[in-house]
Amino acid sequence: MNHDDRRLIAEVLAGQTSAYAELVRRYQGRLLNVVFRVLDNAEDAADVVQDTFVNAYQSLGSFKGDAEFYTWLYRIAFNTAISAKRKRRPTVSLEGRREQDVGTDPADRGRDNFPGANLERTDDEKLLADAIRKLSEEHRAVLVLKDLEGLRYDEIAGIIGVPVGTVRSRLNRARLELRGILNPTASGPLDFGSTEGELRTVKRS
Amino acid sequence: MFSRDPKGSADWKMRNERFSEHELDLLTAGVDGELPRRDAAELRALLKSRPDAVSLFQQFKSDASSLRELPKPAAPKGMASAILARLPVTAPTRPTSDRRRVWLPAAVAACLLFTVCSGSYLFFNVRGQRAVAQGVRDQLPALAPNVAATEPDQDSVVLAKAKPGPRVPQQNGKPGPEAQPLDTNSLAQTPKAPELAPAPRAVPVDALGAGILDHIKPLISAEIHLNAMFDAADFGTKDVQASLLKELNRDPAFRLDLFGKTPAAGYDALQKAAKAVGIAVMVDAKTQDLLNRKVPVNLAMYTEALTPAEVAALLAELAKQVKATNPHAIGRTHLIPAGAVEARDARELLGVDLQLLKTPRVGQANDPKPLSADTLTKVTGAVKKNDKPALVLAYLPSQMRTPPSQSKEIKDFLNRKGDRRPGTVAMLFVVR
Repeated sequence: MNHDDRRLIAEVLAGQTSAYAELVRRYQGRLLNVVFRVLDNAEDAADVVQDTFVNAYQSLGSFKGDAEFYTWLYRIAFNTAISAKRKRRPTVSLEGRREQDVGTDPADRGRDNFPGANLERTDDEKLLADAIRKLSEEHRAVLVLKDLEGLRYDEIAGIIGVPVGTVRSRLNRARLELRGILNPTASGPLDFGSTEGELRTVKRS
Repeated sequence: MFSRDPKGSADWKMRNERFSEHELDLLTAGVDGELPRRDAAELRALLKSRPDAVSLFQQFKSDASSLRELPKPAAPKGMASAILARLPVTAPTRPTSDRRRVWLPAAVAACLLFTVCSGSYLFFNVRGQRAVAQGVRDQLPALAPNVAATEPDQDSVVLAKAKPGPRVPQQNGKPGPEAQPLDTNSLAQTPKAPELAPAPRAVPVDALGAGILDHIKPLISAEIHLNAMFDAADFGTKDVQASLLKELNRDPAFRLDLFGKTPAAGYDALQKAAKAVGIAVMVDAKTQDLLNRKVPVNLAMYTEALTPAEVAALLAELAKQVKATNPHAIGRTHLIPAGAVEARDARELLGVDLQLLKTPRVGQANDPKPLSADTLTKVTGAVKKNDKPALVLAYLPSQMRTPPSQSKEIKDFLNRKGDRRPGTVAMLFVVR
């Protein structure tokens, strides 16, 4: 575990709340990025991040230190996100919705007001962000943790609670699914096109 | 963990038919930099033989790179403050129960080991030092018999060696060195230690080993007399006879519990033994009725006509009967000095206070008491015949016993036994 994290955690356990403020400042951005990409809801993501840090503070005594602190945070965040989604399900109204709006999640009312919303400045970024949103949730989770956060397979496996082999196969599928979303005009087997500048090619198409 | 999007799943399933799962694993692991070394050659072979694999590999790498370059949202202002405001007041603490569970047995074992080791060390160290000191003290007179005397003698020996003085006649008759007057001033000023047999070396007092038990006062001892327990079959042995006599001379009355397989068998052996030593056994009519009907009931036999030696003889005879007839008739026996419970039992059994706890005085029987002619005749007759009556009753709970006043045998027994003779012990045999 990171030496600074270990020191800060020890200080928190010794009663110094200011040390936890340092941990929050250090990891809130990374955590928000991941949760936002996974949940695809700015308001919920902010709530989940807050709940995650509060839960982590209450459980900090049980943190053994055999893994990185942020890995442990991600795991709490995923569990918190699952709980949040379950709580949100009953509020969905099935009446009077258009076909594309039917789903388990309510409309994303907070996206536009969220500071991180609409942060993709180029067309390529918007296209890629949209593609991530369209991924199935389990594929989105592993892809975000791997490519956006750069975590190892074993860390991802520990966070989402599946074997490493499952992480690898989900990544395969996620990347293929992403390819399919980015290149919807391809027919039959994947047309991989050129090996360079694929995003531009996709965008033009 | 999340719900699957069936639309996306179907999409990739339809499109990845070109590559097997294993080949996709190789490509993905290669893109992510987590390819095991043993699979690197396989991936190289795949990329060399399959142009479409090269294309897919490059595509995956490009997508991963693009994802990494996506802008990251900044945390909203005030999020950290909001989080800190929601934190509970009490600081988190490490759970101690698990650690305690792990360390407690080890800590207890370590404490025990330390206690045993230090106790052993102290015990043997103190004892060893005392033994050494005692050994030195024992050897001291042998090494220097003169030194063991008074101090002036020691000094005179030293001075006699140090200075020429008047000759002291030696044992072989030759004249010794010339005697000179003692210099008492120098003696007073410079006393010298004896050269022979130096004083025992002082034992250094250390914190752990010495002297810590010296201040402990001797323990107050108390003698506790435990009730005697015997096997009925051993009553005839010399050791048990001696123990019996010692016990029976200790108190004026006893209860002897005889435990057997059945009370009837035990009573049978006791009755035969009693008759064999000349005891006249009287059985209460209702008790006899119970015995005839073979009702399992505990039995009590009371007599106060026997001396301790006669009781021992009775029990020796009982051992014979047990061995001869039924080894299981009576097994373990408990000899208990009579107390308040036994006195109450005897009183309830016979209906009179037998004064069990009082030792009969010599001459008690000759106290000038007005006696009826009938009683006097019976007592005189009993003494003449050396009568030793004993009464057998059912040893039932007090509510189930026959009222003593209604029992003719009890009355006869009380009349027949007379006053308790000096030197006798009252015995309540209880066959269980």
